[in-house]
Amino acid sequence: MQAPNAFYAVAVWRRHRDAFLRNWTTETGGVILEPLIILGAFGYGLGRFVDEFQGDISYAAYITPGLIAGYAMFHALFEGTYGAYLRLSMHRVFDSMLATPMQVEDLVLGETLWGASRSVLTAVAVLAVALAFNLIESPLAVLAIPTAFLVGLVFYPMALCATAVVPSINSLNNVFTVIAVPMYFVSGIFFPVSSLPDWLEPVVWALPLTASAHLMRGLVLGPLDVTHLYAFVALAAMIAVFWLLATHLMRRRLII
Amino acid sequence: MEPIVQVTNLVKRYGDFTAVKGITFAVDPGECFGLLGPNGAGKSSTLRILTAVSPATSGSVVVDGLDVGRQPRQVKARLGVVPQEEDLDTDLPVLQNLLVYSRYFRLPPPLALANSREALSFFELGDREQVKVDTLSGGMKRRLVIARALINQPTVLVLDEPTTGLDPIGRHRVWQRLLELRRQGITIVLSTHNMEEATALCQRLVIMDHGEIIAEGPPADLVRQSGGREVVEVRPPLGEIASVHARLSGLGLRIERAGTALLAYTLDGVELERQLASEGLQVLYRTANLEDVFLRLTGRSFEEGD
Repeated sequence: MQAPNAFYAVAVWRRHRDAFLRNWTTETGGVILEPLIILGAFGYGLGRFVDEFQGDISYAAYITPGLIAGYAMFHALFEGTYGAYLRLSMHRVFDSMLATPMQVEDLVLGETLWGASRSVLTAVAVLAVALAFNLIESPLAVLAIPTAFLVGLVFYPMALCATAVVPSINSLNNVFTVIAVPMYFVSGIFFPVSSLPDWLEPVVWALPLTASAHLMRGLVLGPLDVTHLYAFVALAAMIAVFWLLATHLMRRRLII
Repeated sequence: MEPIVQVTNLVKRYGDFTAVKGITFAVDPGECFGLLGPNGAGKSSTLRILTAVSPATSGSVVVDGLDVGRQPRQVKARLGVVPQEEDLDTDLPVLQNLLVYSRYFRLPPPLALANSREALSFFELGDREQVKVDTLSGGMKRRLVIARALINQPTVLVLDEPTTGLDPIGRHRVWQRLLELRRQGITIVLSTHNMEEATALCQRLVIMDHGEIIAEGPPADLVRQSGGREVVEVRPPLGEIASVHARLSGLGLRIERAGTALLAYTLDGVELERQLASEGLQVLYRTANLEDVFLRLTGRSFEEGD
């Protein structure tokens, strides 16, 4: 494995941006609608029954940072599974890139930067909806944006690992039904991890989305403590591991 | 003259299967060089190694003085690659396909635009700049892929089966453009399983079979050396193939069997055709071609495969 070249990685990112700007009207109508529905249903529907459980903020305000982390995860995963699979197998975008001075290492880095950018886009959308619902009180909420980028850097390479090894596009459904959706509901977005059974708590803390949501909530709602630093370090370690693994698996898949 | 492409003892293995069994050939600058062979002969594997997207198991490939294994980026910067399977960017319209691609070669935007426009007009796609790639015909897509491969003004243009899947009109249009590029002096390396294509385009070629080179030279020389410039194809009634075979052999002619046809090689086909036709046999007279060379060397016709 060689070090990626930033120029070519950015060229990949720019290709994805250009394609996105061509087609975003058909692709992203849901980006605003989804958080509207979720904040409406959970924040206000469910929230009416559980309000004041956390003290001084509404349930909707409590779940907003975690939702941003969750959306950042889902959009990185969508892009890294179905999006990347189409580019890899159906449209042969990767093959066409590798026929140029581009190498696999550049490709994986550029893909990952793009996936994290998609996470940022969705974070901005959720923030806008939350702002419209008057759920944002502190200007610190702007920290959700770089944090969403970090969350994208965690999940995109994970998705790419799956994409590199699955036999068909249908297998990618498992990333969502078996991993992402269950994780979404237990990782401290909708209720504190401390309310889980004792034996389950350490397991849930080890999940990447738990660390993501915890860091996001600390930065947006405060107060920060040392556990947020742990979360950041854990996420950084996951980025390193899965990025290297994704590069290795993609190389194995593409270079035969 | 230093060759622009030098392939030496090249071997490619996929697990237990050896696709390329130690082949050696060289391509001169400005030449149109062909790899001709049936499917599975090892042509695509060879080209994938030559274009630095697949590692060789052993042996070496040097392009323009650069080793493809050690300097893949530099080699790829000098190549234009047309893959066997069309891989245009369906998310982008025609012109933007070329502009985005030119970034991968670090072309400055004004040069990228100039090269793209020139390539599109050369391939008669100048009026399609803003059209979605999906709406192009098969022939147009293939021409666009070749236009894209020229965007970096490559030293060597490499094409893997450039006209497979095209109708005869589309094929001739691609040939005509490739001949024009050949005239302009660009080095072309192409693979094909189409004899007619190899004859029409290549100044020199190797015939490959089962991962080995079984013949090498200019197409006309290969045909001449295969014995007999002219061919009479005889299609006897099924029960009489053996007896007609024996009788033709008795005339001192070289006979090959291809499916239900017997091919008799001779220097004067017209006379032989008249003689056999008068006996009521179904006969066809034609001049010899590369297919006959392959048949003589392998005992199989191209379509028969293995």
